[in-house]
Amino acid sequence: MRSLPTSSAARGQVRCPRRLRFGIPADTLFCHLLVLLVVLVTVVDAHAQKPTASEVEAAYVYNFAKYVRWPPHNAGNFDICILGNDPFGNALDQIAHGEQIDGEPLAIRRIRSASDTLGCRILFLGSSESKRLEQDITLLGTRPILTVSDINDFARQGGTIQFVNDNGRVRFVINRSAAEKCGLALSSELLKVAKLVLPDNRLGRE
Amino acid sequence: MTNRGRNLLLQCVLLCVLPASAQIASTYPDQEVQNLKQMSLEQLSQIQVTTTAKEPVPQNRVAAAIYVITSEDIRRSGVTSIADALRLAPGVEVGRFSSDYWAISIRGLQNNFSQQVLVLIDGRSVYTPLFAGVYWDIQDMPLEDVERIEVVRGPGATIWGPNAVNGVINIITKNSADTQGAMVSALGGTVDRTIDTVQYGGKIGADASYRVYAHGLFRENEYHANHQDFDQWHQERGGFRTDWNPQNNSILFEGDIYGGVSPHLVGNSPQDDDVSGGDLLARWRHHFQGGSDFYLQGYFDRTIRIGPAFGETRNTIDIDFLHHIKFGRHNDVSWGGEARWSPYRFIGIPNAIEILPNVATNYLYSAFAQDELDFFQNRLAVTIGSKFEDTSPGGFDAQPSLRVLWAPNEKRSYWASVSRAVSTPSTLETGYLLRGVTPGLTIQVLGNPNFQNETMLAYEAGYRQLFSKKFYVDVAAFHNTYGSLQSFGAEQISVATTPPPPHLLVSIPYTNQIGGWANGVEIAPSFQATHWWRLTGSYSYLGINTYANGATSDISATGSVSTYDHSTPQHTVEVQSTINLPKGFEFDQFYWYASSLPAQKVPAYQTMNVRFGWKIAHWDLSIDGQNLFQPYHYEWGTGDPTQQLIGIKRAAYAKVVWTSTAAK
Repeated sequence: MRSLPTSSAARGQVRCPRRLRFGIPADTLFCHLLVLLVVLVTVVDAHAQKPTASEVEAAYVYNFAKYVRWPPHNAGNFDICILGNDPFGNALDQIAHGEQIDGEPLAIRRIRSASDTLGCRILFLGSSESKRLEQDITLLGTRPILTVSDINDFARQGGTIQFVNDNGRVRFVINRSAAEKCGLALSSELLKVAKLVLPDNRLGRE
Repeated sequence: MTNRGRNLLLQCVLLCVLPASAQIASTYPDQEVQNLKQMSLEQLSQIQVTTTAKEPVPQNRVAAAIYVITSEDIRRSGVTSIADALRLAPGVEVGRFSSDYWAISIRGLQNNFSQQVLVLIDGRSVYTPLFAGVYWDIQDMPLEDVERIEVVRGPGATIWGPNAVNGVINIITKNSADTQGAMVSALGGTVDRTIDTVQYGGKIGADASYRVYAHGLFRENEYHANHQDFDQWHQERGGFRTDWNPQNNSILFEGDIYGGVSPHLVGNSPQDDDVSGGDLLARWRHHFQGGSDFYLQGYFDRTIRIGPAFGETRNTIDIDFLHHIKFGRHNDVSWGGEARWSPYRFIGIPNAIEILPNVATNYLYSAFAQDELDFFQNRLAVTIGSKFEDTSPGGFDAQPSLRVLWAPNEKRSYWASVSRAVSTPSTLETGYLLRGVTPGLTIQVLGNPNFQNETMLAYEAGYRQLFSKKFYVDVAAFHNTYGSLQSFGAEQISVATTPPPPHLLVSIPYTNQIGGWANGVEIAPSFQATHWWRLTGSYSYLGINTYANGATSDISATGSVSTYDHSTPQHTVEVQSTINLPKGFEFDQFYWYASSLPAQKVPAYQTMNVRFGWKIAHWDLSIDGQNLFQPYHYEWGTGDPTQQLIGIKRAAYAKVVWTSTAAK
């Protein structure tokens, strides 16, 4: 059994019992197998792993900034705001680092309430907002902010883009009338790739 | 054995944690994120993502001890039945008695007449009023069709049915839109000889979908020291589910039909029960603008179970509705009602084993109302409600509940509640007649038509905290006080002259002479060690203390102070580890431990399932080992000294699942 590169305590004291007795053999065998497999895993290249849904969502949000046109506004930062719990980790920050949209530098802002959205171009609502979704959407009114979330039923409740899980892939649903209400123009590229565009199709399942 | 077993386990866990900690210390791969940034919209929509750690936030806002077992947890645990899948939840005691019999309870009072837990499948109650429990053998559905199992410990919600005293288990099947295309699942093993499912799902127009399935199983017997290998059994079933979603509505219509043979022990002689039955369920849910909704549901359920000694046929018709109204932003009201009729016919042996009357109808009428008020920007929620019931047997009862939740931020929440709950009597307790006759002496156990509802007052509290993106803990504690628990009354001795000749008659009635309390705590951490290794588990502690309020005769495994106190493990532990290896390989372990049951003479045990899987494209292959630590172990006994304990055997199986739609 190869010794592990970490704690010296492990090397000296811990090993799989070797004595075979009635009821014990299976334990020993599995202990060895378990250890072997975990060692194998730490050695094997972990880059072949699949990305998480949040990482893909972060990449989508960056793309939305490129495929949506906002009404004319004063120049400033292109703020992507996150309201409520943030599932992205540092993925969104990494993607946005040093980037610009139409000459405006991208910045990520975390905010505490839907009334704090001055200057936000895109607003991502975390799952903690699911209970006060209706209030948030009402507060946002017709401000030209692209609202994005993975909260269940988000698009049907008035959000603009909702992430959904489609057989292990991340897709999105667009609520076209919500976009039009805010004066946002969605590129046909975006509409083409969407899983569903409301209100033409129907959404909803138990 | 146990000491060595424990040492061994500790060593294994330590060895595996060390390389993992090395991995945690290394930097998170940034290259992946940069790669994603370069992709087009089209490419992003094609990428397969890992299943994320369970999102704790929605549960964060429930003022009750709730745990959700996901279909992925079930797939990777190596279990082959719904009953065994319940081991994955904290506070649930699962005791497998034989190949086809499980005693399952939540927070104690576990015996095979576990009447304190309400079990629903898609809203249909599978609890049988006959002995006030669940026949788990006939709840065997394809595990691939289970979306999730919600387990609520404690008198969960006022809106659940009667007998949700210690909890509710809600088994939810997948929407047919999520099971499209063909699926074939085949399993072959040493004890689970074969379990197979063939299924097909399709669409009907733009808004509707369906699936149909056929499923069968054949299981070997478990270990019998006396070589009385009676518990081999088989069952076949088929069914369908359709879902239709016209604008703002969802309509569900589903049904199943099944038949098979389920062996049981009566005393110490085995009998084969012929079981068959079916169900049909329809539910309509309508969403109003502004967030209110309404549902109306009806179902029909028929069960037939006939053995050589006795049997029952029962039909159940149930209608229930729930209206949920949002008044403004801070007030959420739910109200509803249910009516259920359950006519049955019991076929016994006259003057030996009977239910009197043997043809009757159990009924239930209930109404409930509940109001949830939110304060301080939804940080404080207070829920008050009550359920009112009129049942037969049982009578009228009220079950009020008060719950408070404080969630200062999305990472942390605290909750507390006080509730009263009631368990209605089973037909056994009111109408049973079991009689043994020998020359000169007749002994009989009698149902008591005045048997009262068993009552409970529950005080609960809980705490949930998300420590980092990787570590989450859910803690729940409770103190329950019980009244009028089922007991057997003192023997009443008399001389009887009919039927002649004159003989001694000893009568033992069902009574409600036992009271007591139970308290405990459940701690359930969840740790995403690395993005390919997840550990979840729980530790549950339960202490029960009952006492008799009058004279009792402790004649059976149920209904006596010693059995209430000592038939539930005081400590249970379960740990599930899932490791995603490259190229779609999976390595999973599921370990559990239960402390002893002194009343049933079942020693403490620990065991483990291990699974090697490979999931690519249309295939999901696995080789699984179950109950691996010993050749067999005991989990539960009836307490009847004439019945031998049955050992649950070590087993292995191979499973192949093929789906025609692309990989999930």
